[in-house]
This record gives sequence, C-alpha cells and structure tokens, in this order.
Amino acid sequence: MSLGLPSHLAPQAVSRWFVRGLHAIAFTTLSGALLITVAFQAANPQLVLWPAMIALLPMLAALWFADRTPTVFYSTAYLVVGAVCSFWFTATFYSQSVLLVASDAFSVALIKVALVMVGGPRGGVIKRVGWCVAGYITAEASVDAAVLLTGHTVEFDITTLLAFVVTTVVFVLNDRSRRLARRSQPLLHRAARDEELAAMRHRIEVKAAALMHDTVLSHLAAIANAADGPLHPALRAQVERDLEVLVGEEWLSDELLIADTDTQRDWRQSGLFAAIQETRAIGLEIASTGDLSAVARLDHETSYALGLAVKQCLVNVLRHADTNEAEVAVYGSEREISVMVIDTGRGFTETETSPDRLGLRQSVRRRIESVGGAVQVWSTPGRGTSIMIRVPAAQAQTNARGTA
Amino acid sequence: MSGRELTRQQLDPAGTTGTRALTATLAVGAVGYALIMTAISWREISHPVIATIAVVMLAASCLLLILASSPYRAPFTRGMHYVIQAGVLAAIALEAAGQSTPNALVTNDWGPIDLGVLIIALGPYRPARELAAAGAVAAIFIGFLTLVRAEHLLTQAPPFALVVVAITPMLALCFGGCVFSFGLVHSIQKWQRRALLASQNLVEELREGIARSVQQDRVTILSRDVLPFFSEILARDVIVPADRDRAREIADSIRSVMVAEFDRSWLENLIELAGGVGPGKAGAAAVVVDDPDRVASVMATDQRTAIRALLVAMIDFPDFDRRDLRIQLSKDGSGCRGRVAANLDITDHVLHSALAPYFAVMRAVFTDFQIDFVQPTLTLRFSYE
Repeated sequence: MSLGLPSHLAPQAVSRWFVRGLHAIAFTTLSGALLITVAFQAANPQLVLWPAMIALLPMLAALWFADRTPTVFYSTAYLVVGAVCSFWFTATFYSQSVLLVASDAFSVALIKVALVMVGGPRGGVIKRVGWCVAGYITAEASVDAAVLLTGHTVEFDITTLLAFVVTTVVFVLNDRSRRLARRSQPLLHRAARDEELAAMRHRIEVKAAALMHDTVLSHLAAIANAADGPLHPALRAQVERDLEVLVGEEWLSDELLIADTDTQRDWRQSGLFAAIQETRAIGLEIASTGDLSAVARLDHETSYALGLAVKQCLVNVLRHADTNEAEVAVYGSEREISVMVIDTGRGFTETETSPDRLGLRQSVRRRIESVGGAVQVWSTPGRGTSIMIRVPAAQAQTNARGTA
Repeated sequence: MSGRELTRQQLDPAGTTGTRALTATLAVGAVGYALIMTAISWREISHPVIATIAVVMLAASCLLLILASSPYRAPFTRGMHYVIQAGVLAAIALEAAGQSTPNALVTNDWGPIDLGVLIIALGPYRPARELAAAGAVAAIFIGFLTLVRAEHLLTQAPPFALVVVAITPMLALCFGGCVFSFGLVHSIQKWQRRALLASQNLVEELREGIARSVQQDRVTILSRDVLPFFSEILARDVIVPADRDRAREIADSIRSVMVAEFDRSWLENLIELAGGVGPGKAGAAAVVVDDPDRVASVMATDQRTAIRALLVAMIDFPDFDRRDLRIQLSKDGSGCRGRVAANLDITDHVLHSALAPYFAVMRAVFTDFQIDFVQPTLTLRFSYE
C-alpha cells in the first residue's frame, strides 16, 4: 500500500511527532549540558559546580512530564521550572572564574535551546510557533537576568536564536509541504477502495459465470441433444430448478453454499462425493481411490468449488473422451488436497480446443483458482487425460491469510 | 513490493512530494551558516584555501541532497545518503584542518550543526535507524577530530567537555529528526493497517449488494431469451425439433457474452465506467486500451490503485477527452511494459503541481517510471513484473 495519512489524521500525527522530536532535542542538549558540567567539575575540583548539575535534574523531570502529557499545564510547568533552573545553572557558572565563563558559555546555550524546544500541546502552526517564542523569551530572560545579577555583560547568543529560527522554519515548511497531498490523498484512498470493490465484483462474477455454465448452459445443451417427444422427467426437474435458483434466490450469497458444518466433514456430504454420484447417475463408471476422508478438511466454499470442478471434468470425460470409465484419486497433505481425474480416452490438446469452450477454462480452472487452488492438465491425444486439481486445506488457508 | 524501505517517501509517496522545499531550504541554510561562520572566524583560519574547500565540499553535498530529493528521482537510495554523509564529514575534517590556530573556538565550528541540520533534511527519505546510525558514526568522527585539536587549543576547558560541546548539537538534531521520522512512519504504517482492515470490512458489507447486482446482470441476460424458452418448454412438456435449434442458438449467444465479459480486464472495466468526456460504456475500452497479451491482470493491487487514481485524476481535468487517451500494455521478457498517453490542455507547472502526488505513487509501485510532457501530450512509461 502506498497510502499516506488521510487529511483528518495527518495534522495530529505530524504535530504529535514533531513535538516529540523537539523533546528529543531538548533531552540531548540537557544531557550534553550535564556532561559538560561534570567534565568541568572533574577537571577543576576547586570550583563549586555541583549546584549547576542539580539544577538540571528538575528541568529533565519537567521535560519528561511535558513529553508524556503534552498539555498546556505541563508545557507551562516545563517553562517555569526551566526558567528557574536555567537561572540557577547560569548563576552557578557565572559566579565562578571569568576564564570559565569565557570557555563555557556554550553549556548555557544548550539549556536555552532545551527551553525553545518546549513544543507545547497539540495544535497548528501558529500555536506551535507561539510556544517556541515563549520558550525563547523565557530562556533569554532567565539567563540574561542571571548574567546581569552576577555582574557580567549580556552577549548576543546566536546558537539559541538559530535553534529558534530553524525550528520555526521546519514546522512552517513541513506544514506547507503537506498541502499538495491534501487534494490527492482522498482520491488515492477512494481508488484503493474501488480497487477492492472491483476485485470483489470480479470474484462474484467468476462464481456467477461458473454457476451459469453449470446450470443454464448445461441444460440448454441437454435440450439441444434431447430426442423429440415428451420432456424427460430428469431434465424437466433440472430446468425447473434452474428457474427457481436463478430467478428466485440470491444464489450468489454464501448461505446457499454453506453445508451443515457438522456433516460437512462427512465424505458423503462433500461436494466431491456429490459430483461422483451425479456423474455415475448419467452413465459414467467411476473408481474412487485414495484418502477420501481428506476432503473433510476443506472449507465449505472450497469443497463446493472442488465438487463442481470435478463434476465438470467427469462430464467432459463422458462427452468428449469417448470412454465411460474414469478414476478419481484423492491425496491429502497437511496443507492441501489434490484430486486427480484420470481417463484413458481420446485425449486432447488444451490450446487447440475452441476458445469459446468454457468448460475447462471456466468451470474448472477459474473456479479452482478463485478458491486459491491450481489445475494442471496432462493430455496426450489418443492416450487419455489426467487432470490434477490442488486446493488448499482449510487450516493452510487460514495460515496463508494470516501471513499475507 | 516487499523491497520497500521504511521511509516516509516510500510509504507515503504522495504525501512527501512537497517535502523537497523544506529539504532545499535546510540545505541552502546550512551552506549560508557555513559561509557566515567562516566569515566571522576568518581571523582564526590559518589555511584559507582549505577552509574554502571545506565550504565548497559542503555546498556540493547540499546540492547533491537537493537533486536527489526530487520526487522525480525517487526513491532516495542508501548509497546516495552515504555519499552525502561522507561529503559532509570530509567538509568537517577540512574545516578543522583549516583552523589549526590556538585561538579557535570549537563553538564556532559550522560542521557538526550543519550535519545535524542535513540529517533532519534527510528525514523523509531514509529510515530513522539508518539516520541514527549515521549520526552515531559522525559523532565518533567529530569527537576524534576535536580530541586531536584539543591539545593545541588555548582553553581552560577539559578535552572531554570540548568533545561534548562539539557533538551535542549534531546529535540533538539527529535524534530529533529520527524521532520525528520514526514516529510518522509508525503512524503511517498503523494507519495503513487500519485502512486495509476498514476497506476489507466495507467490501464485505457491500458484498451482498454487489452479489445482487451481478445476479441482476445475469437475470437481465437470461430473462430476454432463456426464461421464456424454459417456461415455454415446461408448459408444453414436449420437445420439438425447433426447440433444439433454439437451445443451441441461445447457448451460443450466452457463451459469447460470457467469453467477452471474461476477457475484459479490470482496466477496461475502469475505462468504461469512468466519467468524463468521450466514448461511453461499451466503446471506450476498445479505443483506449491496447493489451494484446492480456497483462493488465498481472498487476498487483498497489499498481492497479495507482493507475486508477491517476486516471481518475486526469479524467477530472476540464476538457479531458477519453478519445485522446491511450493505454498500451505488453509483455516484455519476463516482465510487462506499460505506456499511458493523454492530451492535457495544461501548463508544465500545473501538470507537476496537480499530478505530482500520483506520479510519486506510480514511481513507488512501478519500476522504470518515466514522464514525458510535450504540450499537450503527456506520456508515461513504466514496467512491472
């Protein structure tokens, strides 16, 4: 999927993570200031720098709360605590030797940057810039007050100003950058949904076409081949059922296909068994071999599709293979069930069959592919045909869906 | 698209088409900062030539970044990231070499801060983890350079403090950028999972309606010929020779409708159902789509979605006529090639601002995506497996 955040979620997510990014910067600069102070204290044991280290701790704690709960209260609390702590920190540093001040104005700048990164509660560009300005003013005011109080002169600090400018620019431009996507994003989302719907419609159409082939087309063919005279009762029953099913019921909904789950596990209730019985009734001798109970591991939809597909293969044997014997062999593995339909009839070449012959393409191949299975055909003219139909077992299917 | 990286550019191509302005601003700003800081500390520079080369090196890396961040050159590769990173580290080393006077102040170095700013600029294009790793490597490099210089500096500061001073701004910017990118990528992924689920649920809810409409289509076909015929035979209960011919005739006509429907791809359906000016239902696909190898069906859902969105966006343009639209798909070795050509009565600027997000998505899901616009003809070429 290539879908970005939709317009109603994007501003919140961008705002939330922008603030967390700012807080990551603040944590790093405060940690840096702490490390620098430790380094100075260690190198100059005669100086009294430990109060500066302690000053950083409440500020780190306030930042942690402001990061966890970005509300007006916690953000304001961070600024207030930060103002006091940066005053304390600066006063500690500036009350020491002049040389120290000259070589370490930078750790003070790091604390000021941490205040500029206050972030504040969620909101748009203006609010965000507003909090940035508040952080900047607080930082400058408290630090300058400490500098003046310790008898030094205030010097312009480019680092903090730079941090303020870069943060503002990044936020404004980042917000603008999403405008382009604001128009396209809904269209992309709609396209993705339409695509899902089209795919669903296609699956249903495959099902409908296969059903139509099995019913109406098959019975029209029966009428075309019937002898003159009274309608055969079996054909009459089938035609009546066609009318009922096609017009009367919602034949494409799954309910029609659901066999009783308890009995579905029984071979005698499986689609495959029904297919074999029905084709036997119209005169084909079928030997069924292998692990017949394996078909109980199919879900209802697959079992139904497999039954109809095998029935089509068997009907093809009777119609085209010039033989009235066939074998149906079932093999079951943990992941899939294979059914082989074998005859020793006339054989054919699949590519040479007429393109409007829908039987193998439609009722077998498409139908099996629509339930995630595969069909392989081996046929040699004059020596017979073997059709291997493989469908996923219900367990394997669930797994496959889970990992997809 | 299993090879897709966890970057904002690749997860949300449409949403990141506009980020280049930010990237370019930061890159230009970084060069500006380097120039200003070099001018301010000019007196501390002992080798002006090396210092100048350092700025040029930085400018070259920034230029590379601006070029590579173009949505028309997506995706931004890891190799490109490393080249830019190496360029900036070289600039940092040259900057340090140019300032080997004892009066130099570590805080006047532009290198580490610029590197941090560039890592933020790289945020939309590379995975957060890769950026963090690059930042860590850079921190070690800058720390080492600072230690080497510390011996010659006239400062009271302990060397360890100098190292922290040198690397903290860079690391802070790097972490900030990484947290922002990581968080957004995480949000996008979460949203995508939710959107997928919601869309599946919606489709499931609409399933009944779709089934009914498909059934309605079938019944319409059947009620014209089959239903009267079946009813007549049932009523008569006798088959006469004319019935056999009629049965064959109806079966043939149904079969040909079914075959035609079956051979129609999603793309042809899309063209026939889309609005706009031009040939309507039943005619448009034959004019527009040329897919002799039937490879439209090979496209993955992502790819179909991208094409669908692009076509819908194009059809929405005023004066767009489907008669001028051509879509050719063909087999090419083991993969497939596609070509979309359309006439759009718009300027180059409008094309790029209005369609850029769709182009970005196309680029993310297809390989070798190329855009060619010679007013008024827009030609897109792409390939897929």
